[in-house]
Amino acid sequence: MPKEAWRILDLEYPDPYMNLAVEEAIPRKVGEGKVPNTIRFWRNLNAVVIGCFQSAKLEVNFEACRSLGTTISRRFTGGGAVYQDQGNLNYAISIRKGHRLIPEDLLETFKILSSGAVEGLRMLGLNAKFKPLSDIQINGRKISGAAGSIRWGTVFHHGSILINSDLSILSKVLSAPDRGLKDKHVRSVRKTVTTIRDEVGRDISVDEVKEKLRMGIEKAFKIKLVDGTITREEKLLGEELFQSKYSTEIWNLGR
Amino acid sequence: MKGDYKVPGGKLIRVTIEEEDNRIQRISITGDFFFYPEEAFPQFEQALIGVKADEEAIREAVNLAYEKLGVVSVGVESKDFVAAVMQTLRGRPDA
Repeated sequence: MPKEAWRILDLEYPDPYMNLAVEEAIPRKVGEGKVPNTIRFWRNLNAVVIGCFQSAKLEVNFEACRSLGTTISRRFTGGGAVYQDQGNLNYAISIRKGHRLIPEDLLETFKILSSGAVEGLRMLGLNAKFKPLSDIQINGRKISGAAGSIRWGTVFHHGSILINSDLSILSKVLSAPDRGLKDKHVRSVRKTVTTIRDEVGRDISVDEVKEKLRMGIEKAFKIKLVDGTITREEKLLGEELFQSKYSTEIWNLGR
Repeated sequence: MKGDYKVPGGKLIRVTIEEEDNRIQRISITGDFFFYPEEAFPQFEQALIGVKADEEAIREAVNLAYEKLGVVSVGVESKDFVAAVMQTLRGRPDA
């Protein structure tokens, strides 16, 4: 039997708000049945991305963001704040509801939809393991976090993978859990978080990581990924969401 | 008053409350948890306004909101929201 074909998009914008607007447009169109199940790879230039229930004021150091030119943005899924530069790769999965891969249980869904990234990291020779609720660890250190949602007729999951991000900026732009303990924050980030470059011990290109991730996803989900493009409808919806939601202060800083 | 409540397992619930006449007048709940459906969260917060500032009343309001809004949460349970609100009301932000 031929393998089920999904679309894969390599699609990113310089503007983090546009990246997040398209991140919502795609699962909406997948749910409507207008486009096939889709994987998207993308990166941000220099942004903090907070979860939809987080307080920007409490989680983000506004002053550090201002001086480092870091944009503060909010995604439509829950979970925690992340710092994203070009050394961080995002992958997003949109699957129409009712697909064979999706179990009833939400925790199990996180695990299954993280398995493509786990497989891809293993293909890079890393000892990658899923860590509930939605992380991937290498020897006890976090290398990837994920969030997800079930809405618009779609099961949606996205994760970010640290390839060679500047972890010192991460601890500057995200507020320390215990305020006043900045040094400790830097040290604790270094101890609990790792990157692909540090783990494989050499410089590694984003393209190499994408290729392995693509293979890992195909293997774990038993599908074939076919290079595709964003449709006109998705682009228009993305632009609309950019205007009405993702570029607005009320969405990004209103909580 | 403000309070941070660390859920066993790692998620954080951050609460800001204005209390008057032993009732919750305003409340804001934020954090890194997963709460479905996401768009029901403002109604969840709303359900705590006017509620008496004691554990029994808050538990009842939280449970009722979970049921009415069809809430499924991951990383936190309804009892964690109750504990976070109570801790904030008791003024033990660092507990």
